[in-house]
Amino acid sequence: MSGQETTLGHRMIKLGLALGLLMVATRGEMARGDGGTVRLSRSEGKYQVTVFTAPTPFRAGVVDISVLVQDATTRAPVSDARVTVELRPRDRSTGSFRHVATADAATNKLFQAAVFELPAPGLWDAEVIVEGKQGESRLPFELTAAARAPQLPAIWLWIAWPVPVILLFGIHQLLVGRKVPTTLS
Amino acid sequence: MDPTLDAFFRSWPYDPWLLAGLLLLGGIYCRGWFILRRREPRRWPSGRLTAFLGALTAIFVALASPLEPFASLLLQVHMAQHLLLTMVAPPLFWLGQPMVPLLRGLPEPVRTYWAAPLLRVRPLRRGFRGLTHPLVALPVFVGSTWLWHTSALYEAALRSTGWHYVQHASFLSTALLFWFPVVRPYPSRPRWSPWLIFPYLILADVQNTILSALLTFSDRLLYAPYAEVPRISGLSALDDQSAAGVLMWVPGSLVYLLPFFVMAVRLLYGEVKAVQAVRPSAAKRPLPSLPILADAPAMDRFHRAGFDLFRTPGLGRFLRWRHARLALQLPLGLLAGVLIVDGLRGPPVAAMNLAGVLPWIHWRGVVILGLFAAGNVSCMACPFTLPRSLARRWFPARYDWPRRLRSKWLAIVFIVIFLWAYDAFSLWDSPRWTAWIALGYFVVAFAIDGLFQGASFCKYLCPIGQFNFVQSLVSPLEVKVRDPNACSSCRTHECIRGRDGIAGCEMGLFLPRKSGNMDCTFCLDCVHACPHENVGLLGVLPGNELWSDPARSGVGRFQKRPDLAILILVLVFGAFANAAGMVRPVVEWQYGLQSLLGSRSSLWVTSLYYGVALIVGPALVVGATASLSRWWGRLSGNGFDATTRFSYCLVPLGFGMWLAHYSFHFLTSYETVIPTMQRFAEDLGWTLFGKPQWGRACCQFVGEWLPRLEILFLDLGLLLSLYTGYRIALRSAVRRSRAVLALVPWAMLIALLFVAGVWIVLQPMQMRGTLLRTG
Repeated sequence: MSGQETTLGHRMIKLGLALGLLMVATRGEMARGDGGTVRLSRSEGKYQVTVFTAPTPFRAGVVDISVLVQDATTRAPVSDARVTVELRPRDRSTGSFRHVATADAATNKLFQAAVFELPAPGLWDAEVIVEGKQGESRLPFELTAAARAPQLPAIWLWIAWPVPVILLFGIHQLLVGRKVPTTLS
Repeated sequence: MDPTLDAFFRSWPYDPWLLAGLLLLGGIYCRGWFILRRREPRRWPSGRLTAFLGALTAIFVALASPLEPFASLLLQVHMAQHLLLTMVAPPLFWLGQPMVPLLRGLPEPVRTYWAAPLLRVRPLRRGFRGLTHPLVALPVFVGSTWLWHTSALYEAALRSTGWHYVQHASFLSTALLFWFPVVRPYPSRPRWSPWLIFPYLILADVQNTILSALLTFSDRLLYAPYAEVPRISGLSALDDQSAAGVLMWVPGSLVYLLPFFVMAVRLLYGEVKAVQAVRPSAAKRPLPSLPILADAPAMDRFHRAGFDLFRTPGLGRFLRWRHARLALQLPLGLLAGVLIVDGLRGPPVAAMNLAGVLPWIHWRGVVILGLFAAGNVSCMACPFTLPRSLARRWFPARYDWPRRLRSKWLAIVFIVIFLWAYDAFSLWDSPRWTAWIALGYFVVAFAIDGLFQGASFCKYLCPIGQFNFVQSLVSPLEVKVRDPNACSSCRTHECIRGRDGIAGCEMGLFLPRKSGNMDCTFCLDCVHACPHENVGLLGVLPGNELWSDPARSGVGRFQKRPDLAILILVLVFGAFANAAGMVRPVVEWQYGLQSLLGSRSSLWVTSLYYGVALIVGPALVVGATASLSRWWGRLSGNGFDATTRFSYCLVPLGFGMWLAHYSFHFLTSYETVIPTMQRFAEDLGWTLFGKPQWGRACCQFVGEWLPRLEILFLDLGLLLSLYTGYRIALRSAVRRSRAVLALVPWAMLIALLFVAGVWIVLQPMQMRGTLLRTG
């Protein structure tokens, strides 16, 4: 391999790496609507509907309600049904709201997911409405949402990762036991 | 296509960290492999590269392909995922003989100062050799496999994302240990007999067979969650479990038996050298005297070679163009003009006015991200210096800037006043004030540069410039000479004197003795003036300038510049004070204090807040820290000298706070410019952009990644600050132990500021410059 080819190869690698990392860094985080806890699974009308909720335990904050709609007889997935999730607080502290679940919001494209902000903890009356060629089905169920997750436990890893780095550096300095590099000064 | 299969092929999860990690690892390996192959093509055939990239692909397919989302629905898919992690990726990884290419592919400073010394440490090498001995690696691998297949742990991994990660990490790491003795990648020199590998592989296969049989023939479901999930493949949960067992059994056995036969053939047919163990006496010698692990060269070697932005295609050519700066300044100058017009004549609501949106959300965000990614792009494109040449035409600029004012003290006063006024008069909320400030900037820059020689306004007065100079000390690019030898023979010094109508450096920075970005506006005059084309925009180690302290042209030594140290302290504490002034608890505290004082105006409370946060608090805290540091580390000089020396270690953390704060506003509110621009155009009678979409004039739904990104900026600032402090301490103290003691108080201050930064980031922040949604 000639020197020129190698230089070109290096440049291509660097360019590819930079572009790749840029793509990774700039792409928005996708919703992970692919499951969690199975909340209910039953046949209603012509559909077999399974509802998953996340996070586990279910809490106020950003939540994910994913729905898998299957044909009740053949168990083949039904992807063209419109799925809506409706939530009402039992204590009527706020009004009800609806979210359309879509395959775009789900990682597993068998599912239709609604990722949204659940404003408050407590008991919620939820209903999944499936409208498709084989008619409409409504599946009411209850959801109990715990208080919003405290921020620190959710992100402690992001805060604490420098600690092992600092420890490793200390160990490095102890093990290596040599003068640190001199600089331009 | 079957709808389930169709959904399968469309279900690609997105894990940015995994992808970034694999890309980085692959890039480092490829770089090292290309370099090694050029020297020894026989030792580094393309098969090695293919194997290594194959290993990374296997990890990607296991964790970031449709296998991942379907693993919780089908055990056989989950099994395929685990087989990729334990039986495909690890042997391919070692077949790529990755140790030398990965080391060679690292940037030279990282390799020589961090990786190589660690790899020379004997206890670490002994530990690794012990872990990869067949008598250790086999039980560890088998233990991990069986432990994770117990119902309790497997179900825990299915129900919890965290445990699932731990399970995958455990499978991959123990499998890497297991496959190491089988492949024995260069330059490992195992002591044990190569014949040991046969019982090793047979035992592994036997345990795999037993576990697979348990899964295949069990008449009960071993993992309960698979009974709860919907069946999507027509198989019952028990049939799915049997299929998973078969998958583990057949391909698993093949993977164990294939190397068994390959090695048997090689041993029996005389290719003994390939797998021969080294004699114990040889193995006791220090492991390979590889040149790659040699002692580090002088640090200044790294400054000669490396990345040069001017040599990149497209952008490099543009920047080398003589009128590149003007091409950047003109659009920004036009925007500044529009901002002033809209600020003075447009609606007084900040979120509806370009003067309320462009400078406080977009310009600040772009400036700080530019400093992080490149360097002082803000000064490079600064429109306020545009009228300089006009001023020089009308005024002679015959005066020298007064000698007594040749420091940063005036700029410090302006910065303190600006930070205070920003909150005290809610500048962000007043398009009119913003417009007047921008106009004032043009007038003052015009007047100063018309009267005084050089770029006195930029160097001694401009608060924005000082902000950029300080933060760019941790930027990755620097205007720098490419080859110092070329400068040593130069007698004409055009870089500072100018030539053929091209100005030399007006900031008084003589390139051969310029070091770092302090006072450099990235105007690129020196680049165009140098007849030898010896000035580049070179990649540098971020922060290196903070701990090295040469006699810099135009700046001198940092440790002899108390004005610079105070400027840094004001900007560091200003970062925290400015961000904290927008979070709910501090705002509520200010309201509480205001009502306690019975004051109608918030001016006094804001003044008190900034007086404490910018002047009194830092003076007390930094003073105490410097005294302790001087005392514990027995440093020479007084407390003020220690402050001047060590204040530079706070720059990275301060930069991290500015970055976290400004990027928060930019990333949550960047769309605000759309309706504001539409409104401005509509006011002018232009219907091209349509009606203002005021729904976009507020905060985006950003999810959980933004606070994590902000904390990541603070983390990076924390680490670089601590490292800078350590290097400054080593330079200042007579012994390493004293240096560590001198560092302790500064490390405590850095940790305290970091905690404050994290607290600020986690508080609800005022969405300034936006229209809050009500529905």
